[in-house]
Amino acid sequence: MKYFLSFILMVGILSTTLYAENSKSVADSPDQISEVLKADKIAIDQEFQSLEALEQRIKSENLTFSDLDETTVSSLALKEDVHGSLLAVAGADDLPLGIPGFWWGLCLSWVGILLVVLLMEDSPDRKEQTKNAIIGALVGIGVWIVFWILFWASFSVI
Amino acid sequence: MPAVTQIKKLDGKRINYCILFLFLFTLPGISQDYFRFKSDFTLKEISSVGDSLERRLIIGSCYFDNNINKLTYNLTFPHAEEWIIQDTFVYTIKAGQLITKTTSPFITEHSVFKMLLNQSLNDFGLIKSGYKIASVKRLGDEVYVTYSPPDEYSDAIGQLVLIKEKKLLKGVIYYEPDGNMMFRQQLDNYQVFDGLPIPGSLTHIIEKDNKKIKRILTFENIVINEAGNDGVYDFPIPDQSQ
Repeated sequence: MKYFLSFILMVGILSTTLYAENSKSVADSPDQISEVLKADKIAIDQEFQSLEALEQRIKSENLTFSDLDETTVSSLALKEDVHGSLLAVAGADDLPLGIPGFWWGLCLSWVGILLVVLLMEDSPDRKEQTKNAIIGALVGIGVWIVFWILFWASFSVI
Repeated sequence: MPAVTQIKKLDGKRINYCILFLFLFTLPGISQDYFRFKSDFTLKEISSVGDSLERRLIIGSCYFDNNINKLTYNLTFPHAEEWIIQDTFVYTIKAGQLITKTTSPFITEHSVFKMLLNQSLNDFGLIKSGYKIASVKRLGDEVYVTYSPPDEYSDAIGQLVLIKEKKLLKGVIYYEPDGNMMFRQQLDNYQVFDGLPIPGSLTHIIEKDNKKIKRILTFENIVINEAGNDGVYDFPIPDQSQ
């Protein structure tokens, strides 16, 4: 009986340790990563074909954005604002002060939303961060209302 | 007296050996200092949030001086203009006129140009940032090194996997703490310039929530530690009043 209990205890300790080790490691195995990267290369080769062709044309004809016709620009959804992309390569973060939109909205309400809109360049990311700032502002207002309800309720109880 | 002379002779010999030893020992530590990077570049980008998709194409040359931490983009597309990034400012100059001056976060240690010159591509600057090696695995010629973040940040930032082949960084995978693969980077077509290996192309994929950014950055006509041409590396900013 004593040996049996010791065995159960040891199995318990071992399985807990193994579980802890597994939960620490989130990285995939080299095989899985290698497969993902191979798939990325194939997908990227296909997706960037149109930009590749445009690059060759621009280089051979020395074109700028204003030389391109409207059909080319709209069919490729080509944007001339490149601020965020250039900064990203430089290692800089495009978020205002590196703070996500939600926190701007939560802490500064409509002022935070305005700052996100004004400080970020026109991009899908700005739309996303503005949405997050609005959610943050709404959460902030909700917290404020709950705070005041509890504040006045505490008076009525007293 | 002869014994004393022998000791003195031995000491002299020992000192010479010591000097020789110290010289040989410190020799590998003397490595070349890389401080300037110049290249023609193309940046192609496809970004999407949900169903909305945007493409961007940037063509030009870039000049980076590590000593003054100044980056100059000389663009030909989308528009012929210079972009200068230094300290916390981004200056846009067109035909010698300062068009805009905006603020930007400081060029970090994780900028592509800094990492290329500081030769920190090998460990991606991770050891300096407090990351620890969690595992090392091999697949063919490639070595997969998994790094774990410092314990105090493990709830906010996840593990990183660096893939190396013949000591060159070939890939970077960044995971969110929940195990979601958020950032993938592949580095290809390495060439060696003055002993410094530089990838000819870098491919990034960033996926977070329903947002996806794919970027291909390619370098051509690379020059390392160019002497002279100071006016381009330290591009003078025209006065705003001009």
